[in-house]
Amino acid sequence: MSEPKRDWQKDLKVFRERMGGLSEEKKAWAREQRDTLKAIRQALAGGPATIPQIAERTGMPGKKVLWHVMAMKRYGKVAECGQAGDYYLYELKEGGS
Amino acid sequence: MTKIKPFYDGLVLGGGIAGMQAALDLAGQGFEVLLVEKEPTIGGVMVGLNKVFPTLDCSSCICTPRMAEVAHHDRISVLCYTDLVRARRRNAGFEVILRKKPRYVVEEDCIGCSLCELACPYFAPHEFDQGLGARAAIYIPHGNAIPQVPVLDPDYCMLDGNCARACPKNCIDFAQQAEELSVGVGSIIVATGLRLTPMGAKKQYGGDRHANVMNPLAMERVQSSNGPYGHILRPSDGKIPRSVAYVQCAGSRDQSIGVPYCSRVCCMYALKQAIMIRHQRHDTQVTIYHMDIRAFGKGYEQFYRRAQSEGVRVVKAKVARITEVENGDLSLRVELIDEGGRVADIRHDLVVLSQGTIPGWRPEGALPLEVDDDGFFAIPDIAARPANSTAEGIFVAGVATGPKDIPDSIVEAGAAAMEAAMYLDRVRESAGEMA
Amino acid sequence: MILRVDPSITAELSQYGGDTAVKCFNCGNCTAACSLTNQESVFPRRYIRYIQLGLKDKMIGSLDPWLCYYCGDCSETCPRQAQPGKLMMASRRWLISMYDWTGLSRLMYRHEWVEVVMLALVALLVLALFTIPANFGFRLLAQHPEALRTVNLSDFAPKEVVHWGDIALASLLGFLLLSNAARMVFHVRRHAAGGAGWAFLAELREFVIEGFTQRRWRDCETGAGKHWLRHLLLVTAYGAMFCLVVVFLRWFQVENTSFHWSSLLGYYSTLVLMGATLGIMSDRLKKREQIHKDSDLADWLFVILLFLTGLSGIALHLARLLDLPLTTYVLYTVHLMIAVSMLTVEVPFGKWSHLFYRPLAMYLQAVEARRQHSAIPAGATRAPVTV
Repeated sequence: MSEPKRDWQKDLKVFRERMGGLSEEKKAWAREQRDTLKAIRQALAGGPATIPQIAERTGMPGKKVLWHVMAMKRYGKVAECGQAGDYYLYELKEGGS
Repeated sequence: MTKIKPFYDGLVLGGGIAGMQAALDLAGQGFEVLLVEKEPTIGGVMVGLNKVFPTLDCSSCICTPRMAEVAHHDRISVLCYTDLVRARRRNAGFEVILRKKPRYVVEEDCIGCSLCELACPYFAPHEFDQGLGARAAIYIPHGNAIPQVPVLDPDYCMLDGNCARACPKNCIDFAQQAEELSVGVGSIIVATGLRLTPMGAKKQYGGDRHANVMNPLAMERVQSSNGPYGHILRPSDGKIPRSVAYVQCAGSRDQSIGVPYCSRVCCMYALKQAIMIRHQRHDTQVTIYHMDIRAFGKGYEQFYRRAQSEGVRVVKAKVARITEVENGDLSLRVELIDEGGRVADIRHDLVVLSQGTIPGWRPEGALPLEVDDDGFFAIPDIAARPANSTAEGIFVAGVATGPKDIPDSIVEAGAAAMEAAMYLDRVRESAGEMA
Repeated sequence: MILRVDPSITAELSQYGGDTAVKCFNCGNCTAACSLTNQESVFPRRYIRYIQLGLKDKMIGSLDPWLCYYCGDCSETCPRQAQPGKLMMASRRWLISMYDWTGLSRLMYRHEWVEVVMLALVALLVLALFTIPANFGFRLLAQHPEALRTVNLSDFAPKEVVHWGDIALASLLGFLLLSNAARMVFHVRRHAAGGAGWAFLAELREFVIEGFTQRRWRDCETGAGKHWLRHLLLVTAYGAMFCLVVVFLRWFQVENTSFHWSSLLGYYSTLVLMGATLGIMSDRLKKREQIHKDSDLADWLFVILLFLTGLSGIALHLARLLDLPLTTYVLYTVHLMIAVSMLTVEVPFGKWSHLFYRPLAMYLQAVEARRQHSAIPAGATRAPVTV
């Protein structure tokens, strides 16, 4: 208990310097991910949809849509809600956006 | 986390099933053991598997109790996220330099609450799910991970401090850096396991190009109840596959990709996964294309027959080429030997390449050990002392010495622990005589 | 069905350069890896199975080896390193020697020195032709030293002599090649069903087109374009030279420094001949592609002799233009020694014969396909496979 309290904000500043700040590449990646998630949320705003349906509405490849929908599902922002043919349906969870 | 002592009787490299077993068996004989694992959690490949063959028992249900036993053992210290820099012989033992990679989380303070992970808004490919699932930039490797401590991945961290803000214990430590440790050990057991043959190894299969060509570990995750999808789906569009193909010897027994040996487990895991698909989806067809089925172990031949009686098709044909057709479906070009040698292009929704096993780690000077042409550790007297390496005081177990299944790895780990114990006793005795 | 297994065939084939048949465990990778296989042509695995079992009748009657252009995809990806491509190559040699009723081909492929001796014998015969007769050649020169003042090929090698020599040689080689080809047709069609009469006529086109272009080669996935083009050029050069020498000799063989337009064609042929053979030799030395990895003496001799034919032709041409009589005559003799011995040995017995057998095989295959097709009622198609 004698140790001084960790000041993470100060450490973060040093860490940021050590990492050489945020690269443009990384910023672009983060922006693209935010846009992707936003597009998926919009596509699901009208109600449950399958991956190919979301892909069609967002104009993104199915593989990318599936990966992001599964990420959202893992962290509780999307839930599975039934099946349509060979595909499952996904819906936004309340407060998930 | 126990404090690291200056000396251990045994150092075990690798926290997979072989390494954990070796550590338990050596500690069980009264020796002090340090287990070093390069990943942020112990458990190795096995903890990510869905089932084991031929019993179809839950793999993690067998693996996690051992993980817990290792973590709680009085005479075992565990160092995760740590690499071996080098080990040099000193007297009868070794001086070992280790490099502990920064987790950016203070392990002693963390309570594993996951609030940091939930606060991070970014998604990165999840290693545990073979990239098919996502995880945050700071994450606990998986539900059964030991220790239950997150690791921050600087490659994906946007440096926004959300995790630290959410942490109730203030244990996110951005100031952490890699640290070198020096320990003395009396003996070493190498259990560094396996990697899969790279997916792009055979260019005719396009394993690195086609979305719906999967590696077998990815399929294990997909079949697991805690897997990336929660169901068996294919990666290109989340479709429930109605026709799945297994391409055997996709990464072994093929001189053209530089892996001439048999990986020993692929026939069995393919049969197992095929059965599991049939259990989960009764109407999904599963076809295994093979050169021959090698079901060599106890109960394995029966397992092969069981798979066939459960509707798994087993077709003698080496797949020569996989081509992507519409919808991400795949066309497999084969000669159907049993149909009079007819060339056919056969279509499937999803293809699993039964990739082979290659060495998980190469010493490259870090250890004074010799490896064979295939990269696995050389065993001078394979018939009589299968756990003895080319160096005195260093023992080897599991896939590090060559492809093998879980039961064989466990048996070999026990043998390595026994050899290490005898070696330590001999050293002790001769030291006693000198004194 | 009872099969008589004959293990001696695998040993026999290894004398033709294919010693890996026993390695094959019939996984079928080679067949599926080949971009030329389809419902009609299924090789090489099936043929390797024949070799393993020693089914000589099946082997002799099979066209499979001729359908392969040795791109090497099968050998590259064979999990057993059984070298299916090389086995097809060895089988082609074996087939050539099976078709050949004189037995010389067999001797030649099994013992490399036989080919060298045969080449040497024919070369000596040519030399004799220009040294023994009194009314032309070197003996004429010896009697009339004034003939050495300027190049006068008509004295050294009168056109009638060369012309009738050409005709005689072409007839002999043609007879040997055609009689061997007839045996090939016999073996292939021996067990075939009847009713193919019309198909034999209808598919003649295939024979002609394939013979001139070897167009199926382009369907190979690896290296096809380059090798096919080079081969095509080589064939045109060969064909042009053949016409010049056999049909148009009276214009092509000109005196001292005079020039005839047919020489232009000769230039083209020589350039292509030398360029292509140099390219082939350099590829074989580099051994980058499967097709160039397993060349033995017979393969090398063929290309070297082709190259030397071109080289001696150029030298002869230059010597004539420079009006160096003795040099010209010596080079003329050397040129003929090389060209005639190469043709005599290679056309009916050796590697050259593939230029005839391969299109013939394509033709026979097309005939059989047409016959089978007409036997299927209209509208019936093979169902697509789904598993």
